[in-house]
Amino acid sequence: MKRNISLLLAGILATAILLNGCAPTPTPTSSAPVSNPTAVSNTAVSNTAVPAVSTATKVAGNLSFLSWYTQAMYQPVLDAFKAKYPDVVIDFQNVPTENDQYTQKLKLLANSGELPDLFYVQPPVTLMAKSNYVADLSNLDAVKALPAGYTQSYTYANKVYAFAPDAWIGGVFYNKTLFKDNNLSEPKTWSDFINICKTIKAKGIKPISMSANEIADLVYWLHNTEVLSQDAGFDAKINTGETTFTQGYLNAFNTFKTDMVDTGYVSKDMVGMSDDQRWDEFATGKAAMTISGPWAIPTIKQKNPNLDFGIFPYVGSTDDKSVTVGAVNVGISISANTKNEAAAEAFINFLGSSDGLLLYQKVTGNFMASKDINYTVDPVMEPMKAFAQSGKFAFPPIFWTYTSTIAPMFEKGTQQIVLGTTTPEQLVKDIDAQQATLSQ
Amino acid sequence: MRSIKKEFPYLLFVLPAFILYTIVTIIPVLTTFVYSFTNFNGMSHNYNFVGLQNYIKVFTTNNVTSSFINSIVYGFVTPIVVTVLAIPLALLLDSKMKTRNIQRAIFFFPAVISSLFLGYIWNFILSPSDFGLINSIRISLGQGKLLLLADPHMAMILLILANVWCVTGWHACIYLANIQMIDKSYYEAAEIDGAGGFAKFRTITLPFLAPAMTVSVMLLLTGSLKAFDLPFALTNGGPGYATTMVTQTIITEGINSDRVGFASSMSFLFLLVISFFALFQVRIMRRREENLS
Amino acid sequence: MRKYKLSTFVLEVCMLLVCATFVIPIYYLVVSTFKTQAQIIKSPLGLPTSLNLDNYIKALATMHFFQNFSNSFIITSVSVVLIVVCGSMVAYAIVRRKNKLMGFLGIYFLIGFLVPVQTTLLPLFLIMKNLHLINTLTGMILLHSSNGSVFAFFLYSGFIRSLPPELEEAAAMDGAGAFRIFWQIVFPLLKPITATIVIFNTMWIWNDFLLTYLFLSSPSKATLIMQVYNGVGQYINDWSIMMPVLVLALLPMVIFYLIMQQYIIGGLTIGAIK
Repeated sequence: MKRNISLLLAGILATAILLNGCAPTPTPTSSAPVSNPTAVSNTAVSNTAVPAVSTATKVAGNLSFLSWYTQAMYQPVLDAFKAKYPDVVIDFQNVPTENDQYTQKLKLLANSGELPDLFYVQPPVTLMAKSNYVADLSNLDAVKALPAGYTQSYTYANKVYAFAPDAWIGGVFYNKTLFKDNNLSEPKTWSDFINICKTIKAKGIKPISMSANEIADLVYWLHNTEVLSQDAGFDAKINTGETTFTQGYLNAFNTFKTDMVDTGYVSKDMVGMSDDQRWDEFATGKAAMTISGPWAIPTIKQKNPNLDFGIFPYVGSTDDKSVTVGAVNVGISISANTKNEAAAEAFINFLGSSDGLLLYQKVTGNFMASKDINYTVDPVMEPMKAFAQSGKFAFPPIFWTYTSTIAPMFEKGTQQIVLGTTTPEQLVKDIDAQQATLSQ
Repeated sequence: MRSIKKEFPYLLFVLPAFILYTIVTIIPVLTTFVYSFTNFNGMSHNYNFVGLQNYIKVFTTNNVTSSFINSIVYGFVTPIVVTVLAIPLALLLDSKMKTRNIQRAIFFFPAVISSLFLGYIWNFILSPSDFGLINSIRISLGQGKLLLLADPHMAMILLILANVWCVTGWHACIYLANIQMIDKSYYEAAEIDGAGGFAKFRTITLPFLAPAMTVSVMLLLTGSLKAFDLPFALTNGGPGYATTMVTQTIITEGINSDRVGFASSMSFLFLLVISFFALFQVRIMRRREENLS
Repeated sequence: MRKYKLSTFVLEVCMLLVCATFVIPIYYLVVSTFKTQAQIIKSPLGLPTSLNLDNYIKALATMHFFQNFSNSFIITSVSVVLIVVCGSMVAYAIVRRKNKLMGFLGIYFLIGFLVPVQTTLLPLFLIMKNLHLINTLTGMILLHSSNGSVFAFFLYSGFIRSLPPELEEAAAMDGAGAFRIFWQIVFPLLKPITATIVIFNTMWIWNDFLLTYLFLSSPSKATLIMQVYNGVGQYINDWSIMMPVLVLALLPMVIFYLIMQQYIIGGLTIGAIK
C-alpha cells in the first residue's frame, strides 16, 4: 500500500509539472524576452502572410477586445467601426471595473498569455511594457496626433504603449443654493476654502462630504497646488529615486491634518462612508461640497433633480496655483502577441479620427485632447474645459510605478490619520520604506 | 494479488473526483508553494528564487500580520456566536408553533443570496451617514447618529454580527434535522425520572447533537477563516486596516501589487493556519463525541 | 401530543417579531427596486407609492435574460449532477474500504476545505488555459464540480459511516458487484443527504461571482449573476439597475428554494428513522 501511495504522489507531481509546462519558469534576468516589443509588425513572426502595416493591408478577421466600458455604452463606436470595416468581427468582452476586478482579470490574462488583441490599461504602463505584453503604438497616426500630456503616462523607454485621447477632469462640486444663502462665492485660494468650511459648519451643515477611499483626495489636492504647480514632473522623480514621498507629501499631510481633521471638517464618520452615501449627502444638501468629476452628474441629478450645483477647481495657497484633479483616461493597448495587428491598429486609428473621437467622447463623457472636434459637456462642467486644454490637471497616483501598492497606503493612511491611529510623519515614513522595498 | 482485483472497482469510484480535484485544487496549491520561494511578480517571465524572504516579509509587514489577526478573530468568534444562537433557535423551530415552517424558511433565507450582495445591503443599513438605515431611524427618533462602520472596533463587531445573521439560519436547520431524529422515548424516560427542561436538554439533546456540532463548527470555522465576499463588500477592509482579512490582503498586497511570490507565501502560511485550527477543532470535538456517546 | 399552550402563543408572537426584523434587509432590497433614487433617499423603508416597474424595464433591457438564464442553468444543473455522482462514489469507497490508500485519500480530499480560492487563482488560471477551458461553460462546470465534490464527500462520508453494512454484505454474498451494490442499495438510502447537497450546491453555484467573472469573458457565456454589474459605470454604481437585476437574478433561486425547502428538513428525517 505504501508503494501505491508513493506512486500516486509521483503521478500527481508529474501531472503538475506537465500542466504547468507552459507556465513561466525562472530564468536569469538577462535572458531574452518572450517577444520583441519594439514594433508591432515584428510580431508578424507568428502570423502567416501579413506584411508590415500599411493601408494596403486588408483589414479583416476576428478582433478580441477587453473593454473598460460596457457594450451598451460602446455600441455606437462598434457600429461605426463595422460600417467602415465590415469584414472585422469584434468579440467584445467586458469586466466590472468595480474594486479592481478588471485589473485582476487583466493580470491573470497577461500572465497566462491569454491577452485579447485590444484591451484597456491604466497608467502607468511600466510593468506591462517591461514584461513585453503590449505593442509599441508610437507610429500610429492617432497616437502621433496626441499632445505630450496624453501620452506621458503611457510612455516607457521613449515608446508609447497605450492610446487615450481623453482625460477626466474634476473638481469640487458645490451646492449653489447653500453658497448663495450664506453669501459665499467660489474660493480663489486654500484659505478661502477653509473659511467657506468654517461658515458652513457653523450653520450645522457638513462642509464637505467624502467617502472612505477618497479622503486622500484632499492630500492630493494640496500636493497638486503646492508642489505640482511648481514642478509638474515631481512624482516621476520619486520613481527614479531622485526624491521621496516625504519630500513631496509631508507638508500636504500636515496641512490636511491641521486644516481639515483637527477642525472637524473631515469627520470620523467619513472613514466608513461608501461612495453612494456621500452622493446622498451632497444631493440632499446635508453637505455643501464634494470632490468628483463629470461621471457623477447623472447620479446627482437622479438623486435630486432640483439641485443647483456648480464646480470649482483645486485652489492653492495663492490664486495662481490652481491645478485641478484629473488624469488621462484609461488607454487602449494592443497585445504584443496579437494575431491581427492590422485590424487592431485600424481600430485605434479609427478612434483617433474626428468621427471616432466624437463618438468616443460620448462613451466616456470626458474632455478631449483634440481642439478640432466640437463636443459638448454638461453645462456644470464648462469651467473645467480651460483646464483640460491648458493641461493644468493631475492625479498623483497615476505617476507612481508602484501605484497599486502605494495608492492603497495613501487611502488607508489618511483614514488612520482621521482616526488618530497614525501621524503624517509616520505615514510618509512607511510609504517611503515600502517604495524602497519595491524598488529593489 | 487478489486485493487489486477486488479493489479495482472502488478505485474507479474514486477516480473521476480524484482527477478533477487534483487538477483544480492540489496542483495549484503545490504551484503556489513553489511560487512562494520566488519573487515572481505575476507578469514577467523572469524571476528568481529568493528562499525564505517572502515568509520573513509576512511576519515583518504590519498590515499583513494584522490581517492574520483579523482573520483569526473573525474565524473564531463567528462559530462560537452562531452555535450559541443556532441550537436554541433549532429547539424553538422544533416547538409547537403554528408558523414554524414559515419561520424556518425565513431564517434559512439569507443562505439563498450571495454573500457579496448581502454585504452591500448591510453596508447600507450600518452606514455612518445620515442615510444609513439605522442612523436615519435614530435621527427620526430625535437621537444622534452612530459611527457604526466608521468606528474601527465596532466595524469588526458589526461584521461578525452580519455574518451571524447570514449563516445562523441554515446551521439551525442542520441542528433541527438532528433534533428531529432523536428518539422521543429518551425524553419520556427522563421525564419519568423527574428531569426538568434544562436537564433533559443537557443530558439528552446536547450529547445527541455532538456529531452535528462537530460538522457545523468545522464548516463555520473554515468558512469564516476563508471568508472574502462579506468583509469585502461590507467594509472593504476598513476603516483603515481594521477589518482587512488575509484573503483580501493576498489579493491587494499580492496579485494587484504584482508580487505573486509574496502573495503565495501569505497563502501558504494561511493554509497552514487554517489546517492547524481545523484539525485541532475536529480532533477535540470528535473526542467529545466519543465521550458523550 | 404537545398542547398549544399560552406560553407557546407568546413565544410565537415574539419569534414572529424577530422574523420581521430579520427580514428587513431583504425587504429593503425588494422595496427599493420599485422606487426612484430620490424616493429611496427620502423613505428607505417605506412601501413604494406605486408599483413602478421602470427600474425593472431598464434592467431587463441591459440583460440578455434568456441567454444568461440558460447559461446559469446549464452550469448549475450539470455541476450538481456531477457533484452528487462523484461525491457519493468517493465517500462510499473511502468509508467502506478501510485500507491505507483510502485512508490517505480521505485526508487528501479534506485539504480542499482548507484552501481559500484566492490562494490558487493564478496557477489555476494557467492550468485552465493550458487545457483550453478558459471562457467555456465546460470549464466552469469542471471547476464547480471539483469544489462541490469535496463538500459532498464530507457530508456523504459522515452519513455513510452511520449506515449498517449488513445490507451491503448480504448483497455481496449474493454475488452483486461493487457498482450494483452502490447504486441499487446504498445510493437510495442517501436521499436525505443528496437533497441537502443538491440544494446547497445549486444555490452556491448559481450565485457564484468570483470564478465566473474570472473564467468567463464573452457576453454570450455570461451567467445571470454577472448581470448585476451592468449597472456599474466607470466610477458610479447605478443602484436603480443593480437592485432589480439582483432581484431578477435571484428569483429562480428563491422559487427553487421555496419548492425544495421542505426536503431539507423532511428529507433529512425520512431516511434517518429506521
